[in-house]
Amino acid sequence: MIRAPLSTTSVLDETAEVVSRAAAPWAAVVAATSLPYRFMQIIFIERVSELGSAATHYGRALGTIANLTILAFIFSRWGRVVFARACRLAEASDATPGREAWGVPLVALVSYLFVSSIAEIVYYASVLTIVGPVLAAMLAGLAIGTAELNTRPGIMAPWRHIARHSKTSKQLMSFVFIFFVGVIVAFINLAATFAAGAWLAHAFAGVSLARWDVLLSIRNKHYIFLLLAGAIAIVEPFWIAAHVVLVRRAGVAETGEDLRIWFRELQSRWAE
Amino acid sequence: MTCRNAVCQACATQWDGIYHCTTCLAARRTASRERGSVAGWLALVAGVLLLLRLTTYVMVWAGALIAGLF
Repeated sequence: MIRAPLSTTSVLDETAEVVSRAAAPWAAVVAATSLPYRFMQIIFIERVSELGSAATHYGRALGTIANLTILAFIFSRWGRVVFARACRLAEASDATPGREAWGVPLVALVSYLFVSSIAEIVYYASVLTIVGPVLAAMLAGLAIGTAELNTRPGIMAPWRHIARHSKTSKQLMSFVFIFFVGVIVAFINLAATFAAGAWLAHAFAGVSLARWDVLLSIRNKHYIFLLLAGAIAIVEPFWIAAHVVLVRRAGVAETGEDLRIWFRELQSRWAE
Repeated sequence: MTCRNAVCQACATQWDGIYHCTTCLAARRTASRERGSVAGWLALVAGVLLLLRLTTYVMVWAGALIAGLF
């Protein structure tokens, strides 16, 4: 029996093709919905760091910011599901998906919100450990990959899909590492782009950059956080697409669809 | 038979020891699916609301904890 291997590199190869088809305009939906959440997270982190050890006395103020952050979180998850659907349609049709990508089934959206909330809780509760955030990232990846498989409402249904695809844990772990490195690379590139832009404005347009030098300095924590948010927004569409492709390919291998596709490809080659 | 119509043995299906016609079986199936669907929706929406609330608490707790450490 011949089966196409479900390797990380083969999934990433296919991911690049899927993103190239779905990115315009659907990656913009992810960025537009994700950035408000990242900005709210930055505000929350900055307030907490300003308060320091006195933060425990400002629970109500921090709770208000956290509530607004969670509203932005819901909006960002909707954007993710729309892009995941666009990726699935792009993969299935080999073309840029149209308006049908907006039509995310409500049950898929709410089920995804349910699982991604748990992933978020795991992440925040274990943010000081190394294992916790990695597990949360793996769960969040599986959640977005299996989001559209949820056709019946219920709190157990999403877990059945996740359990069925958890055998791809090796690839999921690889994705965590690869996309972590991807965020670092995007961060450096963004910082370099802003630095180059500032230098060009100073050198050729004669713009006074005394104020901008302070704002775009690596000593400015706010700038570093914004760069990080930008880097995550750049990598996020690839991360979503990789998990959609992984889940789709794992499902295809499970049902034998891969063999049918392979057989059809062979038949078409012979026909030529 | 729930509908009390007479059908032949070949057209009737036994379920829980009682014979039903196809129309009655379809009605029972739909009713069961609707009950399951409503219960599923209620559980899912309640779960999401609870988890979102819990997320805000965990976020504030983790933030205060980390701020206290550094």
